[in-house]
Amino acid sequence: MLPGSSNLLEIVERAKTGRLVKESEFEAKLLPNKLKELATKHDIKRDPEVLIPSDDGLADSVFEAAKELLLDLGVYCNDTGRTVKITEEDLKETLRNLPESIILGSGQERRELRIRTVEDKRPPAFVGGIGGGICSSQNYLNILISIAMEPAVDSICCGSLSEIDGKPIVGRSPIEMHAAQLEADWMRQAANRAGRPGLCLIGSGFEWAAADHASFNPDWGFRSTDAGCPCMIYPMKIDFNMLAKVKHYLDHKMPIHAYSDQLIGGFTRGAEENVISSMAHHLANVILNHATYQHVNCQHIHYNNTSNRLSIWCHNVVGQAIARNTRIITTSECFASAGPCTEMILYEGAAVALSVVSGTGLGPGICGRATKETDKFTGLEERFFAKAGHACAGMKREDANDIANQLVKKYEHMFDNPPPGKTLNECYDTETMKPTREWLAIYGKVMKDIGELGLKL
Amino acid sequence: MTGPNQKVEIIEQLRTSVIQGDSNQAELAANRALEAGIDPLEAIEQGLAKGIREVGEKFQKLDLFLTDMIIAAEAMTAAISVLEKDLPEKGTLQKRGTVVIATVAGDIHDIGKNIVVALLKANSLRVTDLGKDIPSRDLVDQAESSHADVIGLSALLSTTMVAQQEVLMMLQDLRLRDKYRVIVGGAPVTEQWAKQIGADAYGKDANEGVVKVQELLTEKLGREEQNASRKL
Repeated sequence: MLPGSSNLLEIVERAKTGRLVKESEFEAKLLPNKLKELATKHDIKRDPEVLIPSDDGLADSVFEAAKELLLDLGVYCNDTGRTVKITEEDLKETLRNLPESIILGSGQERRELRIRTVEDKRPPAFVGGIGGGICSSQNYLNILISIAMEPAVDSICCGSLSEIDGKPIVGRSPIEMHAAQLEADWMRQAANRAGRPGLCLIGSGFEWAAADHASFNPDWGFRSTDAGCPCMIYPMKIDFNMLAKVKHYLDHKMPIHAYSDQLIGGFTRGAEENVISSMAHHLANVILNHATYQHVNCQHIHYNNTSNRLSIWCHNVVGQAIARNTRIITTSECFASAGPCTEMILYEGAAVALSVVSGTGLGPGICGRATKETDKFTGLEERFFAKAGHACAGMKREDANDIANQLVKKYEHMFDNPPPGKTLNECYDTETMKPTREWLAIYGKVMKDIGELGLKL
Repeated sequence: MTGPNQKVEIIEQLRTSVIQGDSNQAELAANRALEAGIDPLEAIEQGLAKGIREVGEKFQKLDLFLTDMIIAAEAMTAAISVLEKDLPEKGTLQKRGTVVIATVAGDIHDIGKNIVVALLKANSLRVTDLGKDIPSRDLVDQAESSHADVIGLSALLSTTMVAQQEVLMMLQDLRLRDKYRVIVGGAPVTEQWAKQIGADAYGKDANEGVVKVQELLTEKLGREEQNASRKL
């Protein structure tokens, strides 16, 4: 039986004895073919005019198809070249044992994240932070401070540190361990300087389990009230390194914020197949990575953002499939094409925030420049994202769909050449940690525009 | 020899076999082309390349997906290996250049590299895909044994970018640097990093990567041709 905190040994055992398959066969043939078959069988179709569907049957079909995918194919283990079999009993038991809510952080910053329903009237949880975007060692701390200072942020997610004082980080070496410790220290410092010492930190941003473990320290680094951050490797894969990270989180009784980014146009095919895949990844994340909460991320293969029509549709369908059929707590991640200090990044954020009506929370993000450029993150777009998400609480899906259509029209023509925006240093006074007048004026204008569209911020 | 109708039909079969990603049909059509005396280069350009371009265009619009690109490229490769045997000048395709590509040591994320491989094959380039998490020395050895012109190095993590630098340093230390053009890419990789480590080019995304590889090949092969004619 897989469920339970002591099942990691069983997972490894299954990975050692599962079906032998070539990785290329699994990801480029078995998985996409099965997805195509399931999308047809369950009649999963996207209406190009609809961004936020109100079709409960569609959401439930996606959930059923995802279960079938997981039970039929299992998950691929990179270390053994075999699949890990998942049984119906594993799935039922895991879903039955999911809690109604989880606790993040401590003291004044203790937050309870509850499962959400479709068109839930309660305000959504907000995971702020960099969501894996690239940050320089010079600006990492200040970026996190600007985000932690935003009161709406319920927790902060790490970024991806590009170097240390200009020197590259050598993977799987003491330098990577040192970098992970620096990152944890900066995240803790950011929470302290924002006057929020108990704020939940999500990390680490380093993939190597040994580096992740090295960053756990109740004095200056991650604590049991912070969240670990493992992932399913795209598509539908795990490895022992990731499971070793999970073992560490479980040993320290940490909540686990797991993710499973999808690529629309990639191995998981188009939008119709990606919703099945994303749902299946969420289920696998609970069973294998012991996720206590997760975020949805379906990126466009060419734009690398989640603010395009296909991604918005996917996030909403997956959100509804989860909210209607499970007690998985999830948020919706925004990868924006534009950078901070532009109107576009805010319109993109508002469009993604609308998935709150489909039962998701918010974040991580907004991550500007689709995470391709360094240091394109500030607290102000996080404030906006939170306000937009809160304004969606209780909204009907049909109304949200109308607003989403109007929002996307404002920016989608710029995907091939989006405005790069500014770094924190260029649009914040880093002494006072306040946005510049220019950035505040843009923020004010978009707030007004969006209010006129029906999102009352 | 063959009549015009049969030629049109075979070339169409080559095109559709690529679009359908059917390697068996592609090989069959390639053999038919040879038997019918069709110029192999014409079969490639008018049949296979047209098919793969159509697939590429549909992939850009997401009417088709990465997996379709991969199987189309496989079908094209299968047909080319048949047609090559009868090319008027042996090694004509090699003359377009050979690319060795890998995701560097320590990095298991190869989706970006896979997209680039599919697009390179779609552009009729000879590609040796070494896979992911490839030790630097293995990568250099494979470049040598494949007689590569361009080495492509992909990294998704800031902690594995440094392996791109390691490969370049290794090429330098082995006195092989001048033999290759090296291009780097991947999510955390920047133009500045590429310059810092002495790479010849940087691709900010898969499409730009392919354009840059073609530019590198044109420059390198052109230079080699010039040098060869000087010697004559």
